[in-house]
Amino acid sequence: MKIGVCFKIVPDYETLLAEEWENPNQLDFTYAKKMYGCFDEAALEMGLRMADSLKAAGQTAETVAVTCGAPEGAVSESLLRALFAAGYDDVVLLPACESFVSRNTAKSLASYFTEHPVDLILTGRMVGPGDSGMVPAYLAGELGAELYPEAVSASWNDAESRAEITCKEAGFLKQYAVSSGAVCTVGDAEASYLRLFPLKARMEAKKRVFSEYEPEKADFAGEEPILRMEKTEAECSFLEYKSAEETAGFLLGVLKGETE
Amino acid sequence: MMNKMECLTLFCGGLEVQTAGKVYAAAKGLTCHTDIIGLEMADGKLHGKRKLYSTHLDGLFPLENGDVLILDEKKKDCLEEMAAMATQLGITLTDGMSLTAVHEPSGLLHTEEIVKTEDLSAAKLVLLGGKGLGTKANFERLEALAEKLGASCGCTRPVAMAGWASYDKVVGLSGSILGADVCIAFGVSGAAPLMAGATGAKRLIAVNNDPKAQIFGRCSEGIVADCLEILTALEQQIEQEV
Ligand SMILES: Cc1cc2nc3c(=O)[nH]c(=O)nc-3n(C[C@H](O)[C@H](O)[C@H](O)COP(=O)(O)OP(=O)(O)OC[C@H]3O[C@@H](n4cnc5c(N)ncnc54)[C@H](O)[C@@H]3O)c2cc1C
Repeated sequence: MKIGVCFKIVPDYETLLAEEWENPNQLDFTYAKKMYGCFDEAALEMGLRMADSLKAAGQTAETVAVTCGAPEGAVSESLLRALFAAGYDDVVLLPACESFVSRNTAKSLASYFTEHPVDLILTGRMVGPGDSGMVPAYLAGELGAELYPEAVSASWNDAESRAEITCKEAGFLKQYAVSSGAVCTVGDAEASYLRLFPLKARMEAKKRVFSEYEPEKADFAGEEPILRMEKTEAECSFLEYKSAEETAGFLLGVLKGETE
Repeated sequence: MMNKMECLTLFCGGLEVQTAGKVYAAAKGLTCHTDIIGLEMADGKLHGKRKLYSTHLDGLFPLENGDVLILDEKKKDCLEEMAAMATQLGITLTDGMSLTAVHEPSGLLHTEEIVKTEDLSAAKLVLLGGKGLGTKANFERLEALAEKLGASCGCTRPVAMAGWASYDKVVGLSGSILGADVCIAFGVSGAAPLMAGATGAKRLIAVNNDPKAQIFGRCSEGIVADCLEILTALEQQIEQEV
């Protein structure tokens, strides 16, 4: 079984200076710490777990991690190499699309998966808050594949010879036998972080070569948004700290509605 | 040539409705704007507004006739204003769910109801624990304290990701939006996605040992202190009261 995982490396916006947001038209993300989109990281781990359960059942499993460019200066070779070290068989780089046109990203990914079909595509629910979260739906649409939203775990059921996923939807956990070639979005997964790996694996990963793919040109038009800094509502007043006991007394008073 | 703006399709609801909207837009090849929180005229054109860059900025996206808009049910309060604006501009806001069904993937094997321990969005008093609590055991102490005080206990997303608490306790963009009278945050940095849910509390008191922590820019009262010392003192005082 071949498993494809779509992911994006992004700046960790919480590591930017507060002043950075004051001039939204000249944002500089190059100095920010880089990370996998947080739901993408869960999808990357889920792909490996799926492969583990296949291998444990004596089945073959091939994993490929695919990313569409590294936007906003979020290039991080070490995060890309970490995927080899964690166990990915291939890491494929596609050129970046404009940030705000998710249909183009989906089209590029679809072009790759059409030429290199896989049995299951996993991808994060969205890259981060503020991203459209539309790539999985457009990707499934482009491929004519089924979309399974909000997967929390995925495994191979050897007795039934099928891939199964569990999704969290509207207060229910739903288990599905996934159709071949389906796109599954990963939400609040059981495992949120990519697994750890020994230094030896990282050294080995240094020798590996990324695959590159030039997709069919995607040219959906999309205007850049107008950006504005959000307004902060609250003005914090600091309470003078004398002792833990006094502060605890104050907090208890507030909780009991006795202290203003 | 741009079409005159006559109609927008709106999907407003929980995750199921949002997925139905995304699948509908993708199947029809329509442009879909998710997480919309309002409509706004700018440069003579109607725009859909949503948060960008982990909610640090607002983004206004130009809308075209027939675009699909998706509104999270947590932001339902924007709906009235959006509908009024559409009426004023002579735009029909079509309910997307009248055009399509809830998305149901094939191969369903089993369904199990998730038993929610508490509804954080309805809680009046909330103790909110972040990674600053240091360990799962300390988070459990906060939970026990909340129970003794008749308060609810919420957490930040990394706390759930670390397995210290279940995901239904997460406050923020990917969890509950608070409406509490009082929320006390212990060892919470105040990242934008968390604040999207925490600032719903009428009174937000933050305990953090870093005077530069982001949360101090957005809370009503700030206490620069070790949250574990405060937690211990709270436990002792509650103990003495019993
Ligand atoms: C797609 C996406 C969605 C997200 N959705 C959410 C969401 O819904 N909710 C959410 O919470 N997060 C969400 N996040 C994560 C968010 O960006 C932050 O990473 C998270 O809120 C930080 O959690 P934290 O404050 O517990 O941890 P940290 O950022 O690690 O902060 C810990 C804080 O504790 C303080 N501290 C440490 N020790 C002590 C001590 N002894 N005493 C007092 N203070 C101490 C530190 O100074 C620090 O400020 C999301 C992120 C993404 C990418």
